[in-house]
Amino acid sequence: MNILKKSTVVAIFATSFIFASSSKAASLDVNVDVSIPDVLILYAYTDIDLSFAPGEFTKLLDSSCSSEDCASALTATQSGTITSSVVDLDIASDLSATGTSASITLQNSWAVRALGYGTFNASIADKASETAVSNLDITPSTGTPSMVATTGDVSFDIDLTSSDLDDGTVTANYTITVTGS
Amino acid sequence: MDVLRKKSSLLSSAFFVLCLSIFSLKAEAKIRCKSKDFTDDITRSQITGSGSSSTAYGFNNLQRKAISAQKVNLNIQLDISSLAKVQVTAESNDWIWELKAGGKDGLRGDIIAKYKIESASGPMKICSSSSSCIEVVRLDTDVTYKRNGKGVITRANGRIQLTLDLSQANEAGSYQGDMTVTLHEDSTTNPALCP
Repeated sequence: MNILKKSTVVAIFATSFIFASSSKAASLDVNVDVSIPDVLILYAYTDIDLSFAPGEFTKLLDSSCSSEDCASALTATQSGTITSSVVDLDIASDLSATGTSASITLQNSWAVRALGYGTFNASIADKASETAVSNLDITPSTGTPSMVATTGDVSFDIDLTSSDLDDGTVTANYTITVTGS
Repeated sequence: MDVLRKKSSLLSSAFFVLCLSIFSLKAEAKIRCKSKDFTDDITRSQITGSGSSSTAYGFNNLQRKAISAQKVNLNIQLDISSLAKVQVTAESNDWIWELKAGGKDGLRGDIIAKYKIESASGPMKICSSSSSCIEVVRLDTDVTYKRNGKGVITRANGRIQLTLDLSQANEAGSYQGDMTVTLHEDSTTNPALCP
């Protein structure tokens, strides 16, 4: 009887062993856990040399011009009184309606990529630009960053009447700052 | 009394057969497998090239362009694409699976591991949330063997290296996924080992 009991115990043990063996999965489970740090990267061009396309500069001065050597006819009838064989048509007053400043936009001139930040804030500060340069601005000034680059523009005005243009060049210097939060 | 003796003898035989069965089962089931979790920390320098959390990268190549309609498009995206690291690699410091076998298992070929990664957002992705996932674009594996004098595998283990595409990620922190590994001899069409 004891032997029977032992055999029964062994049989149960053997059965459970067989079951345990056959119920094992044929694959191994691995938990994958990769930690990513927060990062913010600002990209910008630091050396930009621009020129006006043909006709562009005179067009800024007079929208009717399309080339550098431009004849702009003022077609409004001029009336005046000749006195001592002279008449003053005061053309300068009509010229005042033409452009005196240009608003230049450097499209896609900076970019930001970031991980771990819900928002970025961009700002721009003048860094000893010539006086002809004003109204520095940056867009977008805020946004939602990701690892795909968000690109942005920088714009500024140039005073076309400034003596800074006498040497044929005008220099703008600026610092872009982008922070993440 | 005879009946009892016969019964006793019969039971002893049954006991012997059972023990033999267990022994033979143990003798056949020599292949043992186990796995470890895969963890790795991507460093900032892997992504930005610097250890700092914020980096400014100035493209100092001269941009010479003409202004037209008071605008000029410098198209910085082109330069970023050639420079920015969107893909990084993560690798296990140690093996993530190990197989132990006996001489009777006769594993003389190569162990081929088949990997499958799943996350709540789909296959071959690991995610920190439903809106921020990293795609596993490549999985490289390195298997190390220990064989006995007859060339039979007694131990094999595998490390992996994941190439991760971060372009769809926007969160920092832990990205997780579930990987299942099946091990086969010579070909994934052969029966899975580690039954």
